[in-house]
Amino acid sequence: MEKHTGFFGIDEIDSPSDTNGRIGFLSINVPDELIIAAGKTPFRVCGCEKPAKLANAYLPKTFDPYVLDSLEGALDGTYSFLDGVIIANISDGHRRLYDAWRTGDPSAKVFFLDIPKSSDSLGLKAFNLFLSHLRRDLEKAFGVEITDEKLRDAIQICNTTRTLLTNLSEKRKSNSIPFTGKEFFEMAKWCQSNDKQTVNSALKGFLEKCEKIESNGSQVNIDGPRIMIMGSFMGSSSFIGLIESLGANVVCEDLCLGMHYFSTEVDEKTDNPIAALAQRYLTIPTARMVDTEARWNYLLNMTEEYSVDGIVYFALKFDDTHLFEYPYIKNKFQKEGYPLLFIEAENFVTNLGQIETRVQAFTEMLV
Amino acid sequence: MTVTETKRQQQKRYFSDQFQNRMKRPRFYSPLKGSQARERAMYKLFMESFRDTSTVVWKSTFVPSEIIYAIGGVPLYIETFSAMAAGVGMCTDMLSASENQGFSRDCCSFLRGVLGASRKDILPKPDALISSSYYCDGDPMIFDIFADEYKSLHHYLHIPFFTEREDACDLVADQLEEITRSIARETGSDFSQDKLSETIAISNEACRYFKKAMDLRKHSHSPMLGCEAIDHIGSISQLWGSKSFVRISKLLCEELEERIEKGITAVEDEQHRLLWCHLRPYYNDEIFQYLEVEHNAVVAFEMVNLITWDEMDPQKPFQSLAKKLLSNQSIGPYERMTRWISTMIKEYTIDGIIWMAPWGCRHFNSLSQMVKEGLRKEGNIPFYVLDLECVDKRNYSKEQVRTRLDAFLEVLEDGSEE
Amino acid sequence: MITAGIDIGSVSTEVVLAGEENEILSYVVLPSQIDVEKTANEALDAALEKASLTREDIDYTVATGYGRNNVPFADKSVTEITCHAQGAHHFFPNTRTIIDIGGQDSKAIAIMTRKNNKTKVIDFMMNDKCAAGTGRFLEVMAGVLDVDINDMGSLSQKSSQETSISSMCTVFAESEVISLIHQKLPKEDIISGLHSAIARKVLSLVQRVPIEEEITLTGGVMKNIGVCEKLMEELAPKKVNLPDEPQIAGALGAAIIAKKHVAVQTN
Repeated sequence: MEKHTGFFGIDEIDSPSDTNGRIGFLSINVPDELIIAAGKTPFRVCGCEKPAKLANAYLPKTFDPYVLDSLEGALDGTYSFLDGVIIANISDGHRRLYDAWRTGDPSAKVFFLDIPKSSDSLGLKAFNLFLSHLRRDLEKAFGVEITDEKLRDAIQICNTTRTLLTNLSEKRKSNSIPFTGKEFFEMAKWCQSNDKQTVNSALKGFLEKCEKIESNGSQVNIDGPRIMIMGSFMGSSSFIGLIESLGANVVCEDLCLGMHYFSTEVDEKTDNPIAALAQRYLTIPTARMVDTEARWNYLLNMTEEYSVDGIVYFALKFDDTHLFEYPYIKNKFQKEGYPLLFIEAENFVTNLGQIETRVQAFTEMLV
Repeated sequence: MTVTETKRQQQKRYFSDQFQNRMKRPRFYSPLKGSQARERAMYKLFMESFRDTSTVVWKSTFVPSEIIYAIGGVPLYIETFSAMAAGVGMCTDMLSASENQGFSRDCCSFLRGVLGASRKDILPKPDALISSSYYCDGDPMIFDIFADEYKSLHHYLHIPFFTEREDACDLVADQLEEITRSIARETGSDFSQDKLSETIAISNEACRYFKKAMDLRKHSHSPMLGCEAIDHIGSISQLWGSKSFVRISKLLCEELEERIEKGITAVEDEQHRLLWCHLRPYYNDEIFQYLEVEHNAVVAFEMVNLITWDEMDPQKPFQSLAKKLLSNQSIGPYERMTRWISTMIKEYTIDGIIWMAPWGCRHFNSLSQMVKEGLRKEGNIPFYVLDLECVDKRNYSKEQVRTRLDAFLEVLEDGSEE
Repeated sequence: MITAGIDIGSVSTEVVLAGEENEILSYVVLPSQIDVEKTANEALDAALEKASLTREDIDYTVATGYGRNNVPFADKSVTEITCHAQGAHHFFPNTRTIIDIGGQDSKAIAIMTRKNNKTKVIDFMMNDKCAAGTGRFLEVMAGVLDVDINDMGSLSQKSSQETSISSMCTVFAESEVISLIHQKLPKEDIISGLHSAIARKVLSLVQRVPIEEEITLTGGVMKNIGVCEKLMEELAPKKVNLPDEPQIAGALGAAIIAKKHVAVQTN
């Protein structure tokens, strides 16, 4: 595995050994808090980055590569260290992954979290229900009780993570960012798969480091165009690294291993933690939600706050959610004067010459 | 075109030009009156939708058409337009139009067809839109786009994955009620509980006849060709709740009974009985002609005509409609589909299964392999996943498909020698 | 009793003449021309000459392959699925799975042997409109690398470190290879990576059919030892067979199937 010592030095951070085990998740809509309250550490499944082979025994090759990659990992033992995995109904692909994972690995504990596409009152009611089903399923599978108190504690810890990450993220609004987009991505990814106490103390350390740089005036202005990246699930920083190697800076993202993870908080002053979780997690403005207005406002706001020069839209082949969204969102961005680059790829560790040329042409255009 | 002609009137003329002769086209078989009635009903439904006074509601698969009929609206299961367009050779232009907008060719061609048709402005503006989470994600996504384009409200119906959990039915019933009332308000239509109960009763009546007609096809030798039967798409038809569907189903019943009585069969020498899963190529009948007539492998039944629901209770309309849609074999874990197919195999004495796999379909393509494996445990019935396009003729290669069908037929013939 | 099997593929045409015990009397492999009839006649005549036989000596002819319906002298056409199954089984009677990679398609076929030793196809998978996983893929790549396609196998064996090719699509893989060439990576290593890619692609197809021992490899692409080795590596520890002449399995199978029809005719 590539070392990411960089600004955040995450490879040097010791996480306590997970004596209680880990539960995998594949969607931003799965509450970390439920997993933590069940006594486990959440682990973000990113796909095993091997081309699908065993997975094709269950799923067709004309399918979301993130789903195929993840299934491949389930079948070849990469994810055998997980105590369980929660799959959310965020797309046709993920819905079927639930069937394929439990059929392909009958020994695995595979949980399903249903989730509507609308966050109106009926949608919230439904999601509340689905979260309570998941809670019940987790309790049964692991012989634990997920009490409201445990949930509230978990909410507090996770909110701290979110606040700290937001503070770090906002450093990117300025013109002197002490870390690269690639480093930020890797760090955000790391946060999603490690014990939150460790994560929070590390994040505090990162913020102190940033403040030190600011106070002794040693920050350096970045040059090159400011890029926002958005689109399909991206499990690796290679693509961001590629963009940055060509002279641009990825300053913000509409990605799950990014701002969606931490941009809003859960209401702590609640006597119904499940409802509070439902409220927060269902309103994350991802591409799959039918409330396009909320999403558009969120995106436009981000481009303004982060002074974005151009947008790179990354779509995985066969990821219908983003392939259907793209033409629509492109029109909207173009009307606002933002240039867009569309990249479609088979996986997110891609290193194709074709892509490099396009990205380079785009960054040259923005200068 | 006159200065005073409205948009819908222009569209109606265009639609009529394209489609009215379709019903008179030459076929390789002699269609039943019931089938012809269905085609006329679909034509009339669209023609009605172009009337300026019509309340047009675009819907996706599992949104019950009954609620739309009940408020006096015209339900358009809009994806079917791509199928109809493919039948008159119009679909390629629609698909190109969507590709020019930037939609990927890897996505569902039914949905892209509608996107293109909308771009070409040949469809009646929807007064409201209702999408459902099944069959697929694509519908809510494109309905969002249409909501923006046409400035109409988009209502979303979430169908839970675990259909048998205690709260599933209430969840769906509540949403159905909310959606019906909202749409009535938005479109200035009347909603009355009585009207809805009446529509449910009409739906029930049609269902009784339709089920009976489908049962008659269990007769060996089949009285009806699959090529003809599949177009009825009984499990998802937008005609449920309409009086015309009662007439259509009744006719089908009577004609099939008559055929069985007189010993009239779909093909002269039925050798094999196939179960057809998913949809069909809509741009020509070649594949069916090849299988059914040239090789006597009759499509005895189709997954899409399977009625899985019990008679609805008109006094509990929303609950009943919820139960009806939750009963569909496509919803939920794949084992459900496997069980239903297993039942169909026995009831229709099936000796081979063809599962259509168009390139852009995620929901069905992802089911095929696991269902196939699930069935294998019950016996080695030949099950072939056929890569074949439904509406995009550009991706159709007769020779490629023929080779696969020939190989499948050889497997079938080999099996029957035992 | 002498029967003939002819396999008209997109790239090559094979004819096999089989004797009483299904022994191969002669066989011929010729490049396919646009004129299917011409190719078929030339191939048959060549095979007859090799065996010192005439057309009158042939009791029955079965045609298979892409051009099977355009062979004027064929008595019957049978798909290459059934024929490859039969041919592979003849070479290796314990075969349960056949992997065939041809010029423009690839297939996986599952068979069982009945008590009378006849083979029965129980399942099959063919690749769809995709060129990756077929001979076409290697042809395109040979062009890009500027090597003779017949040398790809031996070149890959000289590779010390395989270069990983991550693209599944031929078009994308082509760009990938071009960029690897620019990085001055050795051709042998790239070819080795390509062989892995094609093997992987084909195996993902095979996954959908039950892979049971013994597995037999057939088709023109199996003359490339590099591809065969990769397949065997991936399939290990299952037993994998490679006929001496993997290209003629289809035609041989056709000739064997022809026997069945002679029996039917005479009855």
